[in-house]
Amino acid sequence: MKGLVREIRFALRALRKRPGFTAVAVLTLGLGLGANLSIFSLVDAALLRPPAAVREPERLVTLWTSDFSGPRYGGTSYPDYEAIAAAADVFAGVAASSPRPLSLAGVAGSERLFGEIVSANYFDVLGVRPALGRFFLPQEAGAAGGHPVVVLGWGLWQRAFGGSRDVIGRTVRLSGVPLTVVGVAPPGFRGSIRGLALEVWVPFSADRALLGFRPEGRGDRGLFVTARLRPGVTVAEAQARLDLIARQLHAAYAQEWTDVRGRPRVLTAVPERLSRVPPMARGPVVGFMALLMAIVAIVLLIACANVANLLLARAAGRQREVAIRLALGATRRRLVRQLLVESLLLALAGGALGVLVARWTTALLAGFHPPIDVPLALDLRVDGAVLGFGLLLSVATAVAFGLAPALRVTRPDLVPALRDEGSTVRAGGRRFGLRNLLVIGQVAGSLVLLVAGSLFLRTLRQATRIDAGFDPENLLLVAFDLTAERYDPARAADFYRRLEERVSALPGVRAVTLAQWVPLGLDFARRGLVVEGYQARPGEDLEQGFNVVGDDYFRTLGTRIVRGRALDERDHAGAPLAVVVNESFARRYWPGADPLGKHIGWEGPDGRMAEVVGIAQDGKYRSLGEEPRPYFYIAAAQVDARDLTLHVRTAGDPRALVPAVRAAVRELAPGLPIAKLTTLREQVAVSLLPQRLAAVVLGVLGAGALLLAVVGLHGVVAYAVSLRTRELGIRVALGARPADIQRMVLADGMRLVAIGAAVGLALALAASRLLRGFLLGGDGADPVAFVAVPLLLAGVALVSAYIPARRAGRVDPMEALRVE
Amino acid sequence: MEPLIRLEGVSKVFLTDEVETHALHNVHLEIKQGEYVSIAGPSGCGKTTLLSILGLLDTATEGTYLLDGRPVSGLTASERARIRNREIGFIFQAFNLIGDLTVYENVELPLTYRGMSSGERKQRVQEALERVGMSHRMKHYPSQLSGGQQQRVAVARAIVGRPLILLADEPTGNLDSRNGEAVMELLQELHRDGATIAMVTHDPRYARHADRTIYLFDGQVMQDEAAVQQAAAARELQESGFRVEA
Repeated sequence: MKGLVREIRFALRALRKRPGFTAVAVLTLGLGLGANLSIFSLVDAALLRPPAAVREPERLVTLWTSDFSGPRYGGTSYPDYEAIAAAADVFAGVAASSPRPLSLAGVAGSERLFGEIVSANYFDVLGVRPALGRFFLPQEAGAAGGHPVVVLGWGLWQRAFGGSRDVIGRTVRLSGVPLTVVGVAPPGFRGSIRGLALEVWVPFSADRALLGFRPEGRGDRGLFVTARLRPGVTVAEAQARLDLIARQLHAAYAQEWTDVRGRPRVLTAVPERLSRVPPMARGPVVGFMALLMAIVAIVLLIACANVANLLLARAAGRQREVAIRLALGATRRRLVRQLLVESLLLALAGGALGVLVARWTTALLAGFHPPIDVPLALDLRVDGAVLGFGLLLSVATAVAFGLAPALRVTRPDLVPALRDEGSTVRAGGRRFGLRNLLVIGQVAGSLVLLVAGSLFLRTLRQATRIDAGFDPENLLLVAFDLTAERYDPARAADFYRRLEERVSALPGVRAVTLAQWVPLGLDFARRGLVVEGYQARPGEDLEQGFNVVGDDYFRTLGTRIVRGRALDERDHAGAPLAVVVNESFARRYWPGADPLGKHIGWEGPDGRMAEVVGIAQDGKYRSLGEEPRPYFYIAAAQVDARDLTLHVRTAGDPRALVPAVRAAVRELAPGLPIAKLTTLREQVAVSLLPQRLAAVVLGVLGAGALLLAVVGLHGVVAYAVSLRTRELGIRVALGARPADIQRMVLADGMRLVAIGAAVGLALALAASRLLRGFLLGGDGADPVAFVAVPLLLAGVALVSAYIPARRAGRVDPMEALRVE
Repeated sequence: MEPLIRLEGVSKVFLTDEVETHALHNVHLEIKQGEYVSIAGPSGCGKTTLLSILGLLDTATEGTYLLDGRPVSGLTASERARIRNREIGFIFQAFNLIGDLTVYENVELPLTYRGMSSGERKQRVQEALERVGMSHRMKHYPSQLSGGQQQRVAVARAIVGRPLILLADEPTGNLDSRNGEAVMELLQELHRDGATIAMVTHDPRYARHADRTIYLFDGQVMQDEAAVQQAAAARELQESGFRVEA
């Protein structure tokens, strides 16, 4: 132990004596480790960290009912929830919840927020204790109404009520329903859906108007179900019990419990630690996180290679010291340990810097709110887990960059080293091999990142050329949720009609319409269909995407009607139902036949047959990269639609119209919260957010990696020149011109770059295959990225190698030959 | 009595780029406990190679080396390190002090590899530094000392572990004549106190400080200085085309 303390002291002194080397190494490692810790804090917050304020989360499971269209993980209906909750032999408690947007009436108007409508035992099942007041009582169970109570989230309590303890017993109006505040949730508790900022909890029994589903409807499957296992009960035992319940439910309700392929639906229990991201989204989320981790791991490896190269360069100057220590009786193991202590100190300092970088980036990420209508709130922070990971990674990093140089330097030729002849090592000797390999690795790694970054940049450029089937310029979007405000259908229709009139009259407005869904928005609705003249094959999914649109929708959006007519005022509430389908829809269901005049019908309470009156051009509905898909449009006037978005086509900047639109809304419905206000261009940008983020992250990290690689290359070439000074002097003495020497040195450096680039290109090609899912169109083999990036890298590398090469060309043979 | 060092038929061949260089050839040598031996000879005759083999910094290609009666050929790297640490003290021409360590720490260094307690280490280091007259500079760094002072510190480091033998490789090579004399005086004193010393030097003035001088020429031990001169002359003639009768 004492030996270790002494080694740490010596190592600190050695590092202090070379502040330049130490600073460069710590900075390099700090950036590499910081990038890793930042991404790890994201992974930690999304996937790893147990839920805050929840007791024994390892005993929690989430329960899922398979979807009608097949997927294993779907929502659960209230009657099915009650059937599951009766399984008291395996579950200590079963809770249900349903997230929804709500509006909280305040002094300065309504505030839109997200909350959960929950079963009364919700907090008991999760094992959460109130920070103030109480949670829900057993007599507040059920969904019959009559218990108008609410629990506030800690953040809302602080923000809207100043943290006053008098809040208990006060009445608040939530989406128009008066509710009594009975408690406040503890800090950190954000409900059962990770990443969503949920701020109020209302029991199912509060008021039927807030439910948003029919508790008696077995087809209304919108509930998230969480259960607490009884002590000693395993997930497998719970699953066996759920299988039995599912069989019983199928036997009793065959129609509701049979999916589109005719198979019985199933119930699945998923441990809490695997359902922090809902299981249906877990695959893509884990894949994306793995991709990010892989990217930052490459950056760290490049940083390690750079520091290893610095250490190897330094090792050449330390061979004598090491030889002395060996001559005095130090064992090689002991010296390796001492050198590793130095590496460890560098890595820990780099780790400390990395923690600062991670704190900064997590604060930056936490403050980033993408313009979407769902409030995201991931609890990003540098906590014990991140620090622990940082410590482990720092130690691993120290070994990664420190071990090879330590092993190399502790194997000197003792006699020449002690006689100070070690510095005249021959050029091209084995000692130089590892450094070359490291530079090749750095070049390859940075090339992979830069090619991947440029593929995403190219995809963003590509996106501007894709025909999305609508014109995204100069279109303002204003969304309201009149359901949350308890508007009845007639009142809602009246509000929308008057709003359209008002806004149409504003100067600078070219067209106005309404629609339930915005193109490329996060919401995408599908409906099971019956298609006239089309016989579905066994197991074929007849669910297709659709939109509910107002008059003038197609003109306002700039979507062409290729045959027939658009939906308009003829399609009013009393008229025969009309639909417009897109070209893909027509091709798929009526190939070779005239779709106009054909009928389609949809399932559900308002299921009726509607006539196809027009065919619209194909467009992009969920993402710009999607293949053409069938889609249809229903007239808003012919269905109950109370959550429409106003679409305003303007002559100029749509944002300039915002004050006038706000004023119109205020005048028509004082206090009505605007759920979302954005432009279609911004909406398109949101849909490209993953690609944009990837381009920025890869671009920044790739540029950093390139910088590290060229610094490494410069170091290697400069080191080679210093080793070959005597040889170069002899060459000059024998008649070599400075240009000959420069060419020779440059060729050596660029040979490494060429090998690294070849390896990097092969890896980048493989990586582009993996990234294909994130790129819009093409197979990822983009010739521009694969030619331009290596050329750019070669250019930068050439400059970096030229500096020491030029110095080599100026070698004075008399000086060089005196070098011993 | 068994000699401290015994070499029997030791040869050393260096292989570089398919060229064999015979640095030592069939060397027989004995050094007794308490002896002061100088190894002399012209540049390139194998003096340093011989000293490196004696100090276990290098291994012989052929022959047997017995140190204190034990053969060293089959020793592992860590056993060799242990012997270097406990039984051999080195003094180099280039001093070979570590620039990052103070005088005290440089002298202490061999003891730290033994796991000795800090109290004992301190006492030994102080004794050694007093012995060479450098105890007043123990907090200095090597760069703050003159060449002569650095070599005295190097001597202190060599003796601090109380080795069986001191190996000195041209200990005065980097010093002026005054400092060179002082270091030779110091070795002389150590010898008078019982130290066994083997010293490589090409300077006959310093070689004469020793009890006995071993002459090397082309890797072979010669009888005396005259034999070296004769062999050198013979080779010179041979290289210029004359045939010489032995």
